[in-house]
Amino acid sequence: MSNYNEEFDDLSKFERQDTKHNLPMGWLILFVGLIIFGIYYTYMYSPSFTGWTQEKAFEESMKK
Amino acid sequence: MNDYQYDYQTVKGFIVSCLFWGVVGLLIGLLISAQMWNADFNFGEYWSFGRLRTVHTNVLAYGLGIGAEFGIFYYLVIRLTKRPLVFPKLARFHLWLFNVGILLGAWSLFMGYTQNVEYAEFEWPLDIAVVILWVIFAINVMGTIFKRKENEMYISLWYIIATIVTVAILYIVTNLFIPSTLTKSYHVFAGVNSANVAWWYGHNAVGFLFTTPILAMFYYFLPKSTGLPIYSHRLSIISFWALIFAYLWTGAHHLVYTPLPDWIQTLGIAFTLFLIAPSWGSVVNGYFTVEADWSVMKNKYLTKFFIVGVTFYGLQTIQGPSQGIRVISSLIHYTDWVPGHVHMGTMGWVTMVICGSIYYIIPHIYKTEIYSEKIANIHFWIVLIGQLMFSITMWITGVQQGAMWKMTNPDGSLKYTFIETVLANYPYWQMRTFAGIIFVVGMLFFLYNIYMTIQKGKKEAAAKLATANA
Repeated sequence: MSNYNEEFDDLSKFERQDTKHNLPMGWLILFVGLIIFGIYYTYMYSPSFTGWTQEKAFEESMKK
Repeated sequence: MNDYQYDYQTVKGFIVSCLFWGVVGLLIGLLISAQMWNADFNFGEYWSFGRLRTVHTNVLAYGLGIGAEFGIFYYLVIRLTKRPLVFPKLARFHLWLFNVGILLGAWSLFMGYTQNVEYAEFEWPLDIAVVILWVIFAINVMGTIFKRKENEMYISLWYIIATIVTVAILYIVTNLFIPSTLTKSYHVFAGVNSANVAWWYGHNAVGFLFTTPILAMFYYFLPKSTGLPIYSHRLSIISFWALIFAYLWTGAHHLVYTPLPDWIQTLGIAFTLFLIAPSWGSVVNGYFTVEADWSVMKNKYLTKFFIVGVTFYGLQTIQGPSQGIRVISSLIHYTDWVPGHVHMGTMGWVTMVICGSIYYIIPHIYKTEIYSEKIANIHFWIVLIGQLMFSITMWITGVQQGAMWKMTNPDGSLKYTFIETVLANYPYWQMRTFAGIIFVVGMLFFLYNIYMTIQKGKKEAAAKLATANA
């Protein structure tokens, strides 16, 4: 490490300028995908929307 | 360039204090891991598992974890705002109060005083002290940020602000207890509401004591120790806001298949799964930063602490949300899988990044080089092996335990008695103690290296002073 004598940090060296605004495509798909999945999941497993309850799910699993 | 000198005394004090509490907490951890497979390691009522378990979690979370965070936050705040703390003497008082607080807290748990809320065990007089301590810290850090000399607010400062604001809310709401005597109090929330608040707190303690503060360190020390700038500012900021927005909704995933209303569980699980995205935003940002020049992994010894640390953060934030899903929760919840998960986070991510940060800070404030890069490398590999062994043995035995609980005979009766599932854990519990010893040995290399670096720095400073006077 060569910066023992520095006084102040040079903040411009903390962030890359050429890729400053990039969002990797794979990550963006994950981000949006999980929001959509979250809405779907909340809808599917909320008793007031679909009638699903943890009790019914348990009873069904006991029948097997 | 200018006469400005940073004052690092309080930072040093917190680092030394957190290392001390770290040793205490780790040794108690080793003892309670042995108590799991041999009851003879319980010595009387004070040194029994029931009391020591909370001493272990509180001393490490608050003594080592928060202690390091206080010190490193003071370091980061003065560096990123380019000015001294607004109240340096208050920070010194904060350091003393912190050590007295941890001492009293550990003592009270030894004595058996507890609120019985996980990670919020301290009784009400100590809670009041913690709030005062946090307010002192908040005034100093927020005041310094308001009066900053550098216009730009780097991402680490955002994570520091999030930590300060959210922990204050979490701690106060969860610790709304009605005192009945000096050492006993009752939660204002009853039954399932109490459980819901307790896990809203319990999960967000992980989020705002073990995630946001460590990310503040990660985003500062990764560019500092590699010389490589962070890949994307936008990715940092979007991940930050998404993380703190989503985290506070997720506590209910600890209460899957309980009397908590189904819709709250479902909502908690949905937000928990979403958390993968902002967590991985920081992971991806770290990888892409180092991708500019992977040779730093080899040439700059600190890089691997941050990159391996963030890798465990990435694994942790896939494993954690998966555990929230109902079908997985029903297999592994209440088994030894859970300590395996927790310790991957605390030993693989939190401690790794804290150690990396201290390795950077100590030589920097003593104006010297690290005593030995070789010892740092040995430390790195030993703690990595210890941590992996710990986590993996617990995952194996956790799945075994969950499966044994569920197995039924053709007539529908349970195949195993409870005691059989406990006995099956024994070899893994013994392996865990062995893994713990390896981890602690690794940490001793770290302590030795830091101690020698401080001695070296003092000697060099004395020599410099002598030549200047000659």
